[in-house]
Amino acid sequence: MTKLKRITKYFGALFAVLALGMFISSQALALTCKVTPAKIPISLGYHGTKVKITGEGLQAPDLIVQIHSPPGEEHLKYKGKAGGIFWMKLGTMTFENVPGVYLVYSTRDTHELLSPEKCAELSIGFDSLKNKAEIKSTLKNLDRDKWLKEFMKFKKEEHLYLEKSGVVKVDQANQTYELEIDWPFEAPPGEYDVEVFAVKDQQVIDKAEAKIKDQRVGIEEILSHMAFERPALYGIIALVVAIIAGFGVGMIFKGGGAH
Amino acid sequence: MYVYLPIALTSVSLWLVVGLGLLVGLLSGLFGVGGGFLMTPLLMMIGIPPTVAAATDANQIVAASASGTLAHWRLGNVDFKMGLLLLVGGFTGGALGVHVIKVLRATGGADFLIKMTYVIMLGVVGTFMFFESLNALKKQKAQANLSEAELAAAEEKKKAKAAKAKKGLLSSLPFQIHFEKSGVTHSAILPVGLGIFVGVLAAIMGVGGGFLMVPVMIYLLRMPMHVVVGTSLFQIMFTCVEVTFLQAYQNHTVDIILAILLLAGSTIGAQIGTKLGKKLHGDQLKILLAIIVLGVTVKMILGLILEPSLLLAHGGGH
Repeated sequence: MTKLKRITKYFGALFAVLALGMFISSQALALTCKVTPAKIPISLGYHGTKVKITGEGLQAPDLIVQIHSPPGEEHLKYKGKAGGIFWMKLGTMTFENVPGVYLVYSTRDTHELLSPEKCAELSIGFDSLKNKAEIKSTLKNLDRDKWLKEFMKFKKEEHLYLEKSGVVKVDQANQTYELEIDWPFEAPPGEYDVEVFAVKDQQVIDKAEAKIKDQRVGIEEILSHMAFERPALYGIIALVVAIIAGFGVGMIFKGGGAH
Repeated sequence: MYVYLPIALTSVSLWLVVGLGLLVGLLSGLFGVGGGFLMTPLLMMIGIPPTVAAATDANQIVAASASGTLAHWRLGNVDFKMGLLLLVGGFTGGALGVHVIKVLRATGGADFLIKMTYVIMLGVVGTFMFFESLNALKKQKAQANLSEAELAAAEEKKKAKAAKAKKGLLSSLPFQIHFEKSGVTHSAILPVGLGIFVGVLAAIMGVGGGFLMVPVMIYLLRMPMHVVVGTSLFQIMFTCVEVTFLQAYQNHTVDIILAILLLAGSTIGAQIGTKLGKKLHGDQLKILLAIIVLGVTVKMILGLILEPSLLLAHGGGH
């Protein structure tokens, strides 16, 4: 009994050492993701910024990098022909379960890297986004495909949706990757998820995650806070500034004697 | 050089926005219009959300019209008596118009009414002003070739026509007031009633109503062109003060940074416009405004007929 206990102890210790070794080795190989800068300050002169996404431990030849805001609702107006003649906004259309911002970067076209089923399973790419989206509208006999296509077009036009391949630099010898993007100034303040998928033989073999936060600072923060929290004061300030500016310039022109 | 707008949530070129302000301010000083019918679509074109564009435009018009009113007041071009009566009507009409829109939005079809009112009003006003001013300019040329006796006869004829018109229905209305600055006598009911009419239309169209008020003052109240411009600016200033405050308080759509950039241009533009206006003849001013109004009308008609590149849009705006 004592012998059996001792053997169990030895095996237990051996197993623990092996498990630790495997853990350490897996830690060394795991895909990492670093975003620089992770916090983007929206100040007065802000016009978007360059964001670098880098990582180590890459064991695959290809990568897909996805950046998105949490899924939500987008309330828009749809245009159509009124009376069969005039193009105008005819009613509302709400797109549900869609992110406000969705940016996809990859080493190659995502369709070449993963099967549609895999993309749908892992929620990667625009096709999977289309599958999950729902539309509610006052429009009768709604053509879902047509309006989802229009939605993508609308968001791309606003620079809030983007799909770009061949832009992620992969260094397989050093197992590193690098992606530099132009962060759109149109992206509203908020927190965004960054997901990096390492792809090999049509399979995702590793994944890393990070966050990007863009937030208003300084005068931008003060003004937006005041506009929503103290709207009466904000309105009065807006008027006082306008009246002083108007009369002020009037005085200056008189002073200049430009008649 | 770019500036980020905290309410519009977008970044714009500083010089582009100041330039837009300057251009619209120039028109404001020249013609006495707030320029809302031009500025709001222009702001939307550079990526400002429609609701923010309309509200912030009202804010910058306060500055441009204050600057313009001061300039015109110095030149003796503001009829305060007439302006206040029009304002009373305008405020009442505005409240009525907002109610009409509310009812229409609930029943549907508001957008159709707004667009159609816009096109018809702009088209009618622009066409009428264009031909009327053209005729006036032709007449001036013809008069230049007449002898003194012929001129005196024509003047007599004109006076007789005016006296005949005066004896009509309008002169029988109560509360007759003489407006010294404009040199006209009307019942107080007339400017208040016309103010209500313009106020209703302005509220339906979501604009200050300057381009409607100016022709009303010229053709219906028979005010001289230069007094019309100053008085219109005076009235617009108050209307836009009300709109700015309500938009900031209820809808949180006034972008103060955008407004400051616009008014930096528009206040200077309004002063230049006023000085330029002094050098132009009244009919020349009218024909220029008519061309601008007709240009906007044609653009709107094309926008209604041609298929848009995007079939989805944000809510709000014109």
